[in-house]
Amino acid sequence: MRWPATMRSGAADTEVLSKGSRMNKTLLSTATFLAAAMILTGCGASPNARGGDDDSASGAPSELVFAVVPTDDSEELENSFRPIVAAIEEVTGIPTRIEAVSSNAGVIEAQVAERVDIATYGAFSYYLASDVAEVTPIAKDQRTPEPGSGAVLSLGVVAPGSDIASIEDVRGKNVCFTDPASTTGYLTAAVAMNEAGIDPENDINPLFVGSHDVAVTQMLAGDCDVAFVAEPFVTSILPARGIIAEGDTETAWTSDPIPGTPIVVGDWLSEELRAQIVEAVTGYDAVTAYEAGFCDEHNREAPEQWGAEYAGETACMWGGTGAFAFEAAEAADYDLIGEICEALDTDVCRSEG
Amino acid sequence: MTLIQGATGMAATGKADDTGASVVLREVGMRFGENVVLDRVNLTVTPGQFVALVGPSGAGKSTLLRLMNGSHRPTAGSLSVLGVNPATCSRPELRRLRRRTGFVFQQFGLVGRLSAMENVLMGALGSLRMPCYGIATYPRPLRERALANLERVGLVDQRHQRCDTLSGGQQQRVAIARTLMQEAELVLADEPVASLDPNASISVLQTLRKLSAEDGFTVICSLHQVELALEVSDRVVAVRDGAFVLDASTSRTSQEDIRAVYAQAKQG
Amino acid sequence: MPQTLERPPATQPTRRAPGRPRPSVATIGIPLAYVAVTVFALWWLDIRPAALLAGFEDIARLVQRMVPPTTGDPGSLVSLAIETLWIAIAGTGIATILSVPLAAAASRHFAGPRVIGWLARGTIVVTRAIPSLVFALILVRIVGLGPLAGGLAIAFHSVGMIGKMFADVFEELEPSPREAVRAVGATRAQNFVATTLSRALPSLTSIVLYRLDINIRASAVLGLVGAGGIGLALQTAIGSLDYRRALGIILVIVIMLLALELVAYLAQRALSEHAEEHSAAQLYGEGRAAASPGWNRSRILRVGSGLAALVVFAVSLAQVLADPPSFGRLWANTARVLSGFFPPVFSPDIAYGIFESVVMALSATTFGVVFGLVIAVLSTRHLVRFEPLSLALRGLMVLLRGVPDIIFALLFVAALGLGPFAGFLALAISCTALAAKFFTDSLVRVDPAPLRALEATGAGRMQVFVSGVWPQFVPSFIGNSLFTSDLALRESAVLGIVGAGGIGFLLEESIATLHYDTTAGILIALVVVVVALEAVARWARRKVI
Repeated sequence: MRWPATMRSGAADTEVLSKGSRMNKTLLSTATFLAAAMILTGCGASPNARGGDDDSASGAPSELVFAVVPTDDSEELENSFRPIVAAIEEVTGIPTRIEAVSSNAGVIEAQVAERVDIATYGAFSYYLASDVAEVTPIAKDQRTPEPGSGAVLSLGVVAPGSDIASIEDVRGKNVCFTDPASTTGYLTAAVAMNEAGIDPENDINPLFVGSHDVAVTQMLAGDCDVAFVAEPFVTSILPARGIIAEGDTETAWTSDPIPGTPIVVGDWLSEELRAQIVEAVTGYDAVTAYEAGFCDEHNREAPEQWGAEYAGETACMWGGTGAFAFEAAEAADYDLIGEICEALDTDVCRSEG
Repeated sequence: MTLIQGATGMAATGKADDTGASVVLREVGMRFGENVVLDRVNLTVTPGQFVALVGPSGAGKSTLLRLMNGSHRPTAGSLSVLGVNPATCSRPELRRLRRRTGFVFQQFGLVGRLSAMENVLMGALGSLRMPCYGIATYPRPLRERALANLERVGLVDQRHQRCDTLSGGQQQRVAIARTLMQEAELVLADEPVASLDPNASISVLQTLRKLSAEDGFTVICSLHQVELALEVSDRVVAVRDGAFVLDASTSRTSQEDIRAVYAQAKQG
Repeated sequence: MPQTLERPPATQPTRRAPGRPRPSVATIGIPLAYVAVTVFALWWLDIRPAALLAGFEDIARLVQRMVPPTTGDPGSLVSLAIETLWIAIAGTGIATILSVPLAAAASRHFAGPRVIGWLARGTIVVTRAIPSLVFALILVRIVGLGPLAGGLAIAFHSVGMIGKMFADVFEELEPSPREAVRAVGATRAQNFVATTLSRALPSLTSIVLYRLDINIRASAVLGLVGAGGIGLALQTAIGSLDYRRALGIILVIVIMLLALELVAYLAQRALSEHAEEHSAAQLYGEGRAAASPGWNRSRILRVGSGLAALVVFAVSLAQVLADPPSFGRLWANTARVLSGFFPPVFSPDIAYGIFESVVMALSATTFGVVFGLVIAVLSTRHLVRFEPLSLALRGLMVLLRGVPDIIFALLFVAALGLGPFAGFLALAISCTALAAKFFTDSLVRVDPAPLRALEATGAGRMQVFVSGVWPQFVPSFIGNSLFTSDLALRESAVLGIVGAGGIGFLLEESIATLHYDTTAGILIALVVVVVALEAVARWARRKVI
């Protein structure tokens, strides 16, 4: 015995129909998009197209790759290196691509594979790279018109009224560092402790907190008694961000100057090309670069520290640290890091085989 | 034709004597949008009666049962279940009503990875305040009752067995034991044997019938197999397209009567 | 002759009966959209597989520098691993406790006030979009340096993923037990515990264990809060190019993950959702009285492992709280830290970065889903019943998950140079590992009853898979694929490592240079994208479930 068909099943049928037509519409629009994507693929170069693999032995490469890694105190990385890249392109006549990269290991490995021609990163990264890749520093930054002004200091800062007045006083204390592979945030201070007869692993309670600003703020919050950080954080970056005010910290220890951020070039480039790159990087300063038209859109007024001579001038952002210029550098300038490593013999310094 | 008149006649006489009835429906209508699911039906069920609702799926049987436990609200008419109107009462009142009303589902509604006894104990949640998890969290008197109820449905040996390892008939017995925990005055069963084989079907329905006779609770049970309905019920109500086409005492109804009603309705 | 008025509805009218699923907009349209984005991305990223082969030698040279692994001082490595484990367990445990009510309120079945549902859903999306790095930064200023900040950062970030996946599990449960227990007059809370939580327990356990797996690997973020842990050691080793030590550390992490995988496998067996050949039918032993449950192997296992989990969580909490923070400064600090994020700064760079990340995340997902599906099918018993293959694949997946993205990125950089192609490959690998894990888990949880019925009719394995397994699997396939892209979006920080840009680099730069207003702008943009993906996912689930 069969029952007559009910109204509901009929309703369900119409629903299926309408669903079907809606589905067709979606399919149609997706297919259109798919077709558009394919057409786009067929013609036109990708914005990320890589240059053909160049044959560096036989002549000039068709493209240079300039890799930049944020250092502790860099800002607007890509924009600030654009004028330098423009200078390089002008002098060498070779198109140059910037890659902003957040890991120094990435850049160094690309250099080992000879896939990055020019790079800039911290002094310690250069020390590591020199061990595995064929690279040479050609320039280092200079913050003011004064040569050698690119050197950075490491400071031991304490809260006002602290009983720590020198490196000798840190024995038995809680000490904030940034990380074990930071020159300003650990290595120089550790060497100084070694020299003062304090074992930086056992005679203090070390806390690695990952970044300079956290080291300072948590020292002020009482999580540690003293923090070792790069000088610009205490004198300019943190006060400018309103995170600390003047007088919040006292400086208990100051390191010897550590050479500034290097620009390194691969030895596989021809000597002529390397000379041209040196010329491009050191031949201009931030002001002449502006005059040469390398930074028509992104520029600023010359800062006070450059002195009266440049007051009121317009300048490029010349590198991540906002340098005045780059001065010539050589490998020997960075021997200091090797010496630190020899003195310390910590894990991060042990080079490969 | 005569039978349909008989049906209206019974509903009319029922109206005169509503007090004490388990369920009273008056001119109850239900529509989902344009779709009329129930068309002004009347029904009075006296305590202890075993009523079988027969009809094809989509006829409105499930809706009717769900109206009675307050899962749906009618769009027309009024109803009273155990003296309460589930469509208008407050949430706590509805919860109290549901505690007094058992509900047996076609899909059993058991938690497969828990034991039979744990599932039976869930029937007592309405009388507890806090959530419970695992046998040991239920008070001992409830556990004793759960055991007794499992015994009454013949599953005492399977009390600690995972429910999804029981047969379909056994699972439905666990579900019935769960409603017994409520000590319900009314049990609504929505196609309780639709997913069981014929032997299990008749045995589950006979168990329900026996328990109803022993404890005196009312049963309203929807079925699509006419011969099963005639075998276990006191009264048969046939539903078609949201209306009652037959309402008669089982002893005075045969399969031929029901077939005749539907054949007639189809022509008319 | 039995008289039947009409064939009864199928046993599970709410689930699809076994058979081919009716193709819906969601099952066809979403995969097509992914393919379209991928085709676009192939052009956009200038993907040429030949380049990868050409750089093979460079990869080999780099791998040579990674072996043999060194451990340094094994004692200190083990203590770092244990430290990490405690923090990860405490964080995951806290997240789990917070997630259960959040997920219950966020699920479609929640019948309470709508505002609460919206709030719960909002909390889940926002915590999911915010990287743990940002939580760590905020929390370290609030509770100070130490394991507590690390544990809480992990907890808050995990709430998003755990809460979302719990809610999905709750929604997928078959409604009839819930209706049955509602019909006995139980309260919502009683009903939730009795029918939802009890049925979801196996799935919840595997989600929590999987998140624990992620959190052990994510512990690098703990370095930022001075909590130490093995992640910081790994980061330092890679940062100082000490790859042999890095490999040693990775092996320790892989061993931890393997142990966790074993625990997950045992838990899955002990709590099995559907009755299988190996699951115990008798859940309790004979008690002294008939009404009292007694002890048998199954009950001892369940209660014992539950207690063990509780004890481990309690110990981990004690470790994390060993050095309680000065609660006095909590409020002032919170306000001060959060004020640094206002007003949020938006820029075209952010919009472009997000666009780039979305394109790369979606296309990496396409590859990940395809490979992940193949791996998942091969490592479950539905099509291939060759135990060694399945074990080998599971092991391989643990290895893939244990090796951090940056290592893959380095290998591809050596071969391809800096740029999006290398980043894309690294991202595609982590998507494959994610998707394979999700798919394997949901294939394992497929209800075997309909499959046995199909087998009984003499259907071949392929037929059983297509007609029985696939229809049950489709909803979680679509849902997990969308979820994978959502995770890939946040994992796109890996792209910054190799100069592939995307939002990951901008986010890290803004944090490193303390431009928190930019960080806030990026986070808001990320939340918007995650909400949009979520909306698509919910719409798709409604269509498919």
